[in-house]
Amino acid sequence: MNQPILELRSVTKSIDTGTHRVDILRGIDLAILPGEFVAIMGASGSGKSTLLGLLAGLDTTTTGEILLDGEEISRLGEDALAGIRGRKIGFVFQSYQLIPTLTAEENVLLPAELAGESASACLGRARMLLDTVGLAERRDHYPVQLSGGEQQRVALARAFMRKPPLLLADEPTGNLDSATGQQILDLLLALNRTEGTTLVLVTHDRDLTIHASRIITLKDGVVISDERQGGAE
Amino acid sequence: MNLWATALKIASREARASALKFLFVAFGVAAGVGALTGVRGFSQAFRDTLRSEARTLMAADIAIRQFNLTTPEQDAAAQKYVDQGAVLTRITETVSMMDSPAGGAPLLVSIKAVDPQAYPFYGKFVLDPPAKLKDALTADSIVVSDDLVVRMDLSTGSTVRLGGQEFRVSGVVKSEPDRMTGALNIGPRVMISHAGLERTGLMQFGSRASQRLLFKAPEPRFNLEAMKTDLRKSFTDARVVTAREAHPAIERALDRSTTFLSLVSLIALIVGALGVATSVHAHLQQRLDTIAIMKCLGARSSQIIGIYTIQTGLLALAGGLAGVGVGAAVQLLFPLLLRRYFNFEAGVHWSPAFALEGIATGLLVTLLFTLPPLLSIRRVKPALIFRREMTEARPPLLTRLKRQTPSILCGGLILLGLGAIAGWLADSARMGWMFVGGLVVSLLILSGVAWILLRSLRWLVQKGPWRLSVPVRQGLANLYRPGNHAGAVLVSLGVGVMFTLSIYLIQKSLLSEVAGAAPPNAPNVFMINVTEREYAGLKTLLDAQPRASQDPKSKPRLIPFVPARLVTINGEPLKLQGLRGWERRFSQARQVSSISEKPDDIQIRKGQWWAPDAKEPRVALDEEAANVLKARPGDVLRYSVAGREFDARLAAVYRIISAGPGGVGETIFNPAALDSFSKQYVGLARMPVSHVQQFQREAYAKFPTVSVVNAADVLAIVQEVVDQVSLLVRFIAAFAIAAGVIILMATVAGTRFRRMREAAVLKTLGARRRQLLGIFSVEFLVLGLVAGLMGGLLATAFSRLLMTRLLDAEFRVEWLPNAVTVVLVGALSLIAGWLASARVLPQKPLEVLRDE
Repeated sequence: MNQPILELRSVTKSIDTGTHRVDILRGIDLAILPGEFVAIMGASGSGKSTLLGLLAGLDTTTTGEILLDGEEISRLGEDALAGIRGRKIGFVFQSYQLIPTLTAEENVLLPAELAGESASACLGRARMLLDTVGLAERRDHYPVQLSGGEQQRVALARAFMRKPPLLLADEPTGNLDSATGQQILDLLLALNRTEGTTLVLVTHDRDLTIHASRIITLKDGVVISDERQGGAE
Repeated sequence: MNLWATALKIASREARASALKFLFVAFGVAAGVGALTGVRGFSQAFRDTLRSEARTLMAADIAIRQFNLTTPEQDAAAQKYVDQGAVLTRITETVSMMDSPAGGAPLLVSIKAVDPQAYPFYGKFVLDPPAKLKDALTADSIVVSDDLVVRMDLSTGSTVRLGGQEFRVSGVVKSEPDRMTGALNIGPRVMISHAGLERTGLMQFGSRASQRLLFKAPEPRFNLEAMKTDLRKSFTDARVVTAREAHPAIERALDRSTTFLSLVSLIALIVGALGVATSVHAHLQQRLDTIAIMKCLGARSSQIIGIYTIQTGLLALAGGLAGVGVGAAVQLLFPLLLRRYFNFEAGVHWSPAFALEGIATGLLVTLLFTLPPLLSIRRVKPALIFRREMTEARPPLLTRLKRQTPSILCGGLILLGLGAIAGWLADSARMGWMFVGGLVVSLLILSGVAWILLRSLRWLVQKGPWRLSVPVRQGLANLYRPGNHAGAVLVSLGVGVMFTLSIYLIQKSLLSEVAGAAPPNAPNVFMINVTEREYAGLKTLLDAQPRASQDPKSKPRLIPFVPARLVTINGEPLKLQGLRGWERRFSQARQVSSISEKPDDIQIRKGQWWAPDAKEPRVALDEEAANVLKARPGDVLRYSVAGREFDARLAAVYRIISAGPGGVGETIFNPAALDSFSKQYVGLARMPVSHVQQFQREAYAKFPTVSVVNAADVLAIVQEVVDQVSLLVRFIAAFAIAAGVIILMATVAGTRFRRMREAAVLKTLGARRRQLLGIFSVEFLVLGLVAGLMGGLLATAFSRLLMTRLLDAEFRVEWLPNAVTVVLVGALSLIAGWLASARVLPQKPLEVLRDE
């Protein structure tokens, strides 16, 4: 288990606002090992979400390399990246990002269906996951008919649908009240444990990091601290 | 395969959840396909009906006329078609003197011998007293025209002598549908059976007679052009014509109206497709998040494009099916609405071919038009979910161009596809390319205008010296804000307006052209054999007659004619080697007229009409004659009249636009050219139909040698065809314009989903409904007015192109319809906007924002 699942080498990211250039990430070096629960922290604008986007291959670096399972992904084409995401990465977003026109169950099924898996096999797992997150009864509801907490639970189920080795979560409790947030976090950790996933979580909520094995803090696009803590996993 | 199945599944799930939105999109296709199938199916029936009207004027589908008896080879050629199911009847025409055993001077009459069992194939031969032609015409009986009745004081039952044989007059001809195909200037009509003509003994070897062979096609869709070409091989010196060719003015009216109908169906479809493209574009804009999420979850661009292509395809199919239903209803409804005016002989057939054609075209056009928004899916970054406002560093021009390559290619593909569809629908590649050209130019101009407008508005709102009210400022700002597709809506609205208004402008110009074929002052009474001796007296008599209308143009005219033979053109003797059959007529002396002022029933195509006081001899030629003779304005034509030769410069080439009988002929001189020659006159007058007989009597009493021909029946047929063409053109145009307006309104209304979020945010910030309505109104009004203005200007240019290049007709620029269009489009855009907002405004902000 010595080879990192994710490795960043001198990664920078800049954007052009039209009038001037903004450097969001300024030389990040990082290695994340399989099974780790990494919390990335930082104030608003520190570059957390951009970093998460780059880790997921959702965006390209300006300079530097990102290796996922040893494979350089920062220069891959859109479709190759999409394939990697489908196979290896699960996502949980702050604003749930369910597809409004699909029911809860259909949303959970979607990653498997996009990968071309057989419907019957997927359906069993989708229902199992919905059951795990406590929404077996509401599987035919549309996102708009679900509360925020329920929507995030559907999103959790969807993220684990394809048993991804890596799960990325962007402020997963950011839009929820603290009780619901705690509930979601518990579910996330439980699923993470049972599914054996590497978890990278972006947050500015220090409470969430209690369970993390490692806390990386960003400021103005650079890593200012990288601490491992023994308490969690 | 699995991927497509998944795409299909996801596509249908999405469609199910946003049924209402999808209805909007499908509606655009349905309206387009409905108009296409309705108009096409109906115009087929319309064409059949009009064709059958036109052929009544020749009583046949194909006629052959020659001055010799048919040879065995010609008989065999004709028989070939009889064997295929065509019906053939022969007509012999000759002239002879006729007298009455009761005494009186003999009279030169024009004899037409027919087989009353077969003749006429089309149209009705009406007799007074009412009788069937086969009963009235026997070996011993004849029927005669009304002028003969007057001139020889005949009545039904009178006895006359022809070729020394006695015949009983069994009736008077009230309507002879194919009279226009014969010559008017010989003498009153006598109809006789072949057996009767045989009995007269007039047909001896060398007798001057013309033979006409009339064919009735085996079935309505028989290829008459091929048959004509084939028959011409055997009948080399004959005039072989189809019913349509026999009357160029009517043919033009039919041709143009059918081209117009193709044009209308094409426009209907393009406007429909524009509606669809706008709706799909708006739909995909709303789906950006969904697309980004799917990409995050591992979907490849091709998969997502697949999903939305299937969705669009399903929409197009649903719209197409609904459209075919609409089309079928239209086809059923049209004849019901027009029953009072139209006798649909051919009937309206609902054909599955039209349905399939409609669905396929709808599908194809929709997919073509939605290619750009579909391909833009590739550019949606999954990172959109994280930072919506992210702007990428602007790449260099070459990279940007490279990225645009698929869009440019797909633009080219759309245009090619559209050109092919247009060419196929209109049966004319030329029309297809004109359409594509018109579309490209309009798109470019409209995009340019949209660009300038949006930038000007931004300047106006941000830097303008005026203090604008909140709704005006917000409404204007809405147009240029990022994410607002005002540019795209303006372009599609403008193109829609352009096409819709073009229909109106073209139909208006077309109708005035078509109406010219049967002007209200077209003569219905002709006087022939008028010499200089009778000229003054007849003129006085004519001026004293009641007129059908007080229009000064309907004044009776006496046109002088002399027989003239064309000798040389620019000093070169006439080359007749290449000319065949009827074209060789120019080698003989032909009647030419002499007119000072340009008559209303001709249209100058090349050159200029002469000044009334021109002293030099000038001549004008009919365009067909000019083509055959290869003569151009400026050429010097030498004519021989009464043994004297003189030169006349060709001043103008004209087209006879009136389809009525008689007229100015194919050669007209200025008065100075023919001044010194002795002339005969043809009198033309438009009289109330009820007065014609009385005039015939009066004229005969005073001028017994002058023949007065009553052409009211023929004119009535022409009038009927013209009226029907006009009515149909008007009706179909109105239908297409209505469909266009509905689609345009739907285009505007289709943007309402985009407004939901904005309305919700503004409401949250304290905006009242009235303010929101004000904001939307400003936005819609500006869009409508600009689209109306630009669409109107483009429509004028486009209609002009189509009228002059495709329909070969004149086009007059009219500004009033343009002005009305600007106001109307502005108002319609406003109404559509309000209707659309009516659903947006009452929505609770949270409902919308949560849905986001």
